[in-house]
Amino acid sequence: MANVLKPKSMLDQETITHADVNKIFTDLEDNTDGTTSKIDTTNLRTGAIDREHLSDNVFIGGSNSASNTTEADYFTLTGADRTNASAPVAATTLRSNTGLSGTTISKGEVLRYCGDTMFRRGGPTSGMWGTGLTDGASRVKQYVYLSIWLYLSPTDGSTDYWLQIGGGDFGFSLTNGPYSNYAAANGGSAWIGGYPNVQNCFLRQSISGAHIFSAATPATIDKIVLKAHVDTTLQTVYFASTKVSGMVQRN
Amino acid sequence: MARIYTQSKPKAVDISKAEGINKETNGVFGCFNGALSGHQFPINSITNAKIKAPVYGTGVISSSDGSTNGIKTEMATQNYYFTGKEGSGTFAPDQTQAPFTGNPTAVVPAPTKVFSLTSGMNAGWTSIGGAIDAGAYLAFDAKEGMLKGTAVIDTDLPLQFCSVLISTTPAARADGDNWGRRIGVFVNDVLVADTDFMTCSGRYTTNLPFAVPVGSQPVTIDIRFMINAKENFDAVTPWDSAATARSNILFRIFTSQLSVRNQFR
Repeated sequence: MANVLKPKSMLDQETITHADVNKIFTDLEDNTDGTTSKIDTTNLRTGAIDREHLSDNVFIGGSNSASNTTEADYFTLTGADRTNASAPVAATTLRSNTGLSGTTISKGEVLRYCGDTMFRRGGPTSGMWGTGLTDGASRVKQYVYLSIWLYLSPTDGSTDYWLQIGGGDFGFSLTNGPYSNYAAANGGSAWIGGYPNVQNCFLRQSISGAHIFSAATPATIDKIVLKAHVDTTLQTVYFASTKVSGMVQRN
Repeated sequence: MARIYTQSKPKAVDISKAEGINKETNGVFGCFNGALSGHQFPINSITNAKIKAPVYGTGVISSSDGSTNGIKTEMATQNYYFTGKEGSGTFAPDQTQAPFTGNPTAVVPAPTKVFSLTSGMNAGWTSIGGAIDAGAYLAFDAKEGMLKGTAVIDTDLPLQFCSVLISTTPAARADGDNWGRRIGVFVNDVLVADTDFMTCSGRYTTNLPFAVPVGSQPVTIDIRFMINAKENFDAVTPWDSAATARSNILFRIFTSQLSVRNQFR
């Protein structure tokens, strides 16, 4: 319970001494001298403190963590993860960060995240152009898509769900364009894509952003997950030195 | 203004002197009259629950056409704004932009917006924020401080450069002109972050962080692009109908997200 000051009526006493008059004040002083528990948060109403009431170096905002790998600790997309399927296949988890596991996020709070992906494409040096070497024909599309997902476990026990918080394709697709199918009949390849016949090309991309949680029901974060899906059968894709971290900004 | 406790004097009887009592009173209560300082709080005692909760809001302007699909959250020292079309629900790996596509099973989802050289594309910068109703445009009243944000946009430019036909008999070609895209973030029409020209074909997601000082003022943030297409190259390349070819140079917009933090204290 909060400390309650009780003013003392001087008329209640037959003889007033200096010590008696000052007692309530000395009690108050004792209760406010900064010693632990003399004034604690029970004296404060909820929402009473603004940020400027905090001293420096007070971290407000929940957990902050990172998940790192070394350059050698790369992940290889294989099998169905890199198929040319037109239907969804299971994406592969590149990197999970469980540092925020169990952290609750509520409406209006913000997940701030950042990631660092190192991306290497291996694979054959031939056949990567795909088919369609004549005029009007289409080449096989090859694209590599890295999506970033937040995995949430609702506290009400309903089905887990995913929320995309960023990411996208990491390029060097041999996308069919109006000139991409221009062919040898007119003197050779009409265009050159991003990195058509290069082995071991590297890309690094940083990822950052802020996601405002908008669902009415608070959710408990299971982890932050980087996932990838590759739409090609012609090459192997490696992710190395993939990192992801995040924090929940509450107020 | 600090809270002031009402002062009352003891009755003016000959028991004690008023000024002596007030002196003690002032010494003790003084700290409550606006002088309560941090050392009177035990350390680690102020939890998140004691701090004013964020206020979530919708209706943030998300396109120059007046669409209000953006969201915001207002905190004690900072506000966040976000626009984008996010996916949620049961996870499927290719459901990457389900709200965009209407075809969540497609490996390559349909683009949100397609520009062509002959339709909707300027010679200089072209605003994406005016072409889609969310994801590339934010307008709000900022407070003096800093704007820090990130633009994430997924675009596809089909080709890098075309070769040119220099001989039909025998057929021979030479390298043509370089094509590329450039994507930038503008705050109140000032370019604050950009990719420079990306002379690569294909589909890329660019992640553009930016940070700018801002006053207490209306702010407009939008994502724009520029294509350095060489439109005249077809004069020496008879492989195709030039008019058709130009109109088919497409610049596709897929995912687009814009998040901004206004730190004002």
